[in-house]
Amino acid sequence: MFKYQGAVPIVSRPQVLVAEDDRVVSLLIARSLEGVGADTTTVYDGIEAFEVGLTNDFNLVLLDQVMPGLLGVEVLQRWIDDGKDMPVIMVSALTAEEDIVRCLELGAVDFIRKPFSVRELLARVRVHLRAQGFDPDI
Amino acid sequence: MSFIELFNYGILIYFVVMELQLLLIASVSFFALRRDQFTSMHGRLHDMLTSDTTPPVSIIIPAYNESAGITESVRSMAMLKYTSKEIIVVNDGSSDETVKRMIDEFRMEPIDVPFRPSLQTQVIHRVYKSRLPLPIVLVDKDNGGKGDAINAGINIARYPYVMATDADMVLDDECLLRAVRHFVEDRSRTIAVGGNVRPLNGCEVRRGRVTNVSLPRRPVELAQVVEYIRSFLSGRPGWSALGSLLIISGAFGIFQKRALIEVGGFRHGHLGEDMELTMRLHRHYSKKRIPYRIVYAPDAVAWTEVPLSRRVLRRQRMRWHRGLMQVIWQYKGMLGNPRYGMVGLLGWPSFVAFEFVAPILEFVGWFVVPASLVLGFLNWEIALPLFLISLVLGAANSLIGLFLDERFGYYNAPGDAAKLLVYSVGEQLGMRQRTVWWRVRAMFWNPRRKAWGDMQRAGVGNLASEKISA
Repeated sequence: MFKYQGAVPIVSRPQVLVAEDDRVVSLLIARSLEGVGADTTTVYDGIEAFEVGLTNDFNLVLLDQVMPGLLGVEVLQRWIDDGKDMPVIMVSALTAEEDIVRCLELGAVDFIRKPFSVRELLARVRVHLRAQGFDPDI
Repeated sequence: MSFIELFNYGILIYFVVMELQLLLIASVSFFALRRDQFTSMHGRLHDMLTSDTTPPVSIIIPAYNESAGITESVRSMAMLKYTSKEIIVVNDGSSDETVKRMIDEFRMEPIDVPFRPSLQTQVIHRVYKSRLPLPIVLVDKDNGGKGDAINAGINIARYPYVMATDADMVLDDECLLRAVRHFVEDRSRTIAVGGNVRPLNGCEVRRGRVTNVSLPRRPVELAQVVEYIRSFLSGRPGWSALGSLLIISGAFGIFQKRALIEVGGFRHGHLGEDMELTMRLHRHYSKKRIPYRIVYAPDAVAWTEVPLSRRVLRRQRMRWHRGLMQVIWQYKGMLGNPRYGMVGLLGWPSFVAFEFVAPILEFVGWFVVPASLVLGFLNWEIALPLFLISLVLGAANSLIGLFLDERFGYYNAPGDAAKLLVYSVGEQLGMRQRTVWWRVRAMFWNPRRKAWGDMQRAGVGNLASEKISA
């Protein structure tokens, strides 16, 4: 009998974590991502984001800077401290250049300023997913 | 007409005049609030969020033994909706682990920053900056009291505007934005903006934000809610519109840094330091004949816990009154002085007359008037109506406060509205007399000069109540 020998199963749909405390914005991001074929998990505060991110593997994380419990960069820092390596896109209304540069240096792969356009957000998400070998058409 | 009669009628008429003055200010407040709501609607608050020209603000949090709540407090400040801000925690020589908590939580590391000691303060040992991309600064200095700590923060602050606040304030998301709007509207003249401080008691707080507003249960707290509403809604908007706002609350005030440095910052060890500072700003700018504005922002809301027990409330009020007396003595030269414009001619004299003199007269009145009535010196037909008028006007004044508060829509439950109504009227008999008694006592009371106060808190707004599981 043929038995599946346990090669790494290919997840065809990218898994994206959306950490954003504003429910409306969160819904907007999640729906847009689902529209292009990604699976999304949404969390609404920093502590939850940290825990969910620690115990699951995501292909991409959209991390809001301003969240109750833990701030976005704190979540990122704690993941790095715990050896969790995931591509994280910071989403923030913080527009000070210095903060953006330091976010990227801390380990974020990208930075999206709020208010953002959905098209731009999706385009950036695609860039990072393509880099991981996902279907460029998602 | 005998002297006693004259004296009695004098007191009664004084009451009526006082209440009428309050009513007058309340009606000015009505128009001021309406105008404010209109301009804020058209000021497009949210454009400020994305504009590069919105002025950056340094938030200064003086901290003395705040290790329990300081990190949550900093987080809640970091969450304020605002484009460009920095948060400066000034450790005022705490004996607990305030500094360690900050360093551990936000990965602070010592940096060498050159700063100009524009204001003289206690020795600053070290300045730390967060390694995370968060604009958080920690200043470690010797103990010198709250004013001294804020001054040290001003020295370190990078930005042209500073916000002075307390670690235990619970701020609304948009309060900073709403307050800074007034600076943006008139950048050259506005030097200080005060916010609307509301009692936190009874409200539900989650993760540093008020999530549900309701009334506290105890009568002491309820009476204070009515009092705060009256003062912050029927009083301050009017005075602000008349250009004589005399108090910017130290727990939530935003200042032009240059103005603060010019007048020498906060005074150390003053009991009424926020009022003293505001008066100093008024005096300085009027004297130099520089056009200026000190404004009240009713829609910028911050919440604070008010005393839960009568004993603590009494101590707070006596300390306030003591501070008020100090300020009055210091600035007596401004009384009725036309050089100081509206403040000298209207705001300050009426403040002194109705906040300082009134309690004395009222206190005397409560003894003399009944005694004279019993002894037959007074005519019931004149005394009683006057007395009732002053009570009715007083109650009307509180009711107007409630009415003005309606536009903010905080207390919506029918039970809450009813309670507020009952307390607004009931306050006239009880709370009012008690406050008078405390004020009179304060005149003969030597406060132990504790710069930080010793207010006991029940922890309604204890920001550290939620543990961080990481």
